[in-house]
Amino acid sequence: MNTKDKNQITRKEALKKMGKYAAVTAIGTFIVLNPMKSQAATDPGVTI
Amino acid sequence: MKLSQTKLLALSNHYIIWLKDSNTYIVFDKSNYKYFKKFQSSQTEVTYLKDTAHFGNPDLANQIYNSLKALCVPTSQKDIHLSGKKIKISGTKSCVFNYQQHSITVHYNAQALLDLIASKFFHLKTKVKTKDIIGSHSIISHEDNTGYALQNSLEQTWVWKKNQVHLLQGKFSFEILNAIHNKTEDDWIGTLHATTIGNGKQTVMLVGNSGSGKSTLATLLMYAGYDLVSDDMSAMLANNNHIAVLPAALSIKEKAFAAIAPLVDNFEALPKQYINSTKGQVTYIPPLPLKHPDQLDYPCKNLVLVRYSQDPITTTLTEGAEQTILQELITESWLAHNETYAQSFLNWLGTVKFYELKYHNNNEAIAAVGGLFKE
Repeated sequence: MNTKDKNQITRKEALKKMGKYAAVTAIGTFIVLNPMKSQAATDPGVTI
Repeated sequence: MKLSQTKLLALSNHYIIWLKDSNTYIVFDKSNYKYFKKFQSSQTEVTYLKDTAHFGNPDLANQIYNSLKALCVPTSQKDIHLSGKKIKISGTKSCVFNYQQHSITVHYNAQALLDLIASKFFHLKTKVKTKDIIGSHSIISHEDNTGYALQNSLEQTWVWKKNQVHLLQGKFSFEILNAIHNKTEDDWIGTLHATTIGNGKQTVMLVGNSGSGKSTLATLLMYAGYDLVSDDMSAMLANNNHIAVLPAALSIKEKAFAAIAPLVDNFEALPKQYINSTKGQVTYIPPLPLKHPDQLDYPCKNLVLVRYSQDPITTTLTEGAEQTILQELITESWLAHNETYAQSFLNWLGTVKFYELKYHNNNEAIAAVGGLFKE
C-alpha cells in the first residue's frame, strides 16, 4: 500500500530546497542570512 | 575576537545585526542576544566563557562562541557574475518596449533569448514611436555556446554561464526598472524577493517561497481592485524606502489557471510557456493600469508571509513569523553592500508589521489582505 503523505517530498526536491537555503546557517540559537550578490529572478530558465 | 558589527535593530522577538565586512545579517532571539554582546566585548575565549558563566548554560555559551568565531573568518568575496568585463556584444535583431514616457530598445541575437528574458514585458512591446519620450535606453543581449551577456545604455556589461539564467533574467528586469525610474544600481537599497500590491497610497508586500501562492494571490488582489506594484522583484529606493513600480506581468503557474482564468479576458489566448516538469506551463498576466499612473513608488508598512493550503483550512492572518519572513526576504534578495543602505533597510524593518496568512479560500484571503489597508 502506498502510504506516501501529501506533505512528503522526494529526495531530489529535498536537496533542491537545501540548496536554496545554503545561504542560511541554522545554528539553533541564531540564524545567519546572506543576501544575494546580484539581482535575480526566481523562475528557472524557460525551456521552449 | 570581534565581528565587524555596525548596525543593530531590535524587533519584538529578535535582534538583527548587520556585519559590515560580509554584508551578512544575523538574527538572534532576544533571550540569546546577551551571548553576542559578551562575544563582542570579550578579548579571549577564556574571558568570554567566564563572562557568560552566570547565564548558567555553558554548553550554549560554547556553541554560540564557536558559531560566531566561524563568522570571523573572512568569506570569499567571489561574485557569481562577472561585472564590468569588457566584451563586445551586438544584437542582430531589436524590439522596443515603452512604458509611459520611457522607451527601451532591446537588441538580441535569437528569439529564444528574448523569450527567456523579456516575456514578462511583452505587453510593453510597441511598433509605434511614442511622442514626448523623456528617457531613451537600450539593452543589448547576447547568447552563444558559452553563456549569456547583457549590456546597458551606460555600457556596463555582464556575462553569465548557461546555468545562471536567473541572474540574466534578474539583471534584465533590473535594467528595465532603472530605465523606467531613471536610476542606476546605486539608487537602490535592494531588490526584495516579494510581490507588492497597493491601494494607490500604501502597499503590502507578499513574501513566500516560489509556489507559496503569492503571485496567484497578487493576481486575485489586482482583479479585486488593488494595484500590482511589482511581482517577484520588489525594489526599494534608497532616498525614501519606497517600493518602486515594475510593470512586469505576473507569472502564473498551470496549477493556478483555474482560479485566474475566469477573471481575465481571453485567458486562453494569452501565450503560455513551458518551464519544466515541476512547474509545468506558465502564463503572463499583464498588470492593470495603476490608480495613480504618475506615482511610481509607494511606502510599505506590512509584510505578509503567504501560505496557501491545498486542503480546506480556516483563513487566518496573524502577527508574527518575523524570523521566517526575514529568512525568505534576505537570502532570496539582493541587498546593496553599503553601510548607509543597510542602516536604512534595518530602519525600515523596524517600522513594518510582520504577518502570516494561512488560507485556502481565495475570497477570504483577499478580504484578509485588504483589511491591512484599512488599518
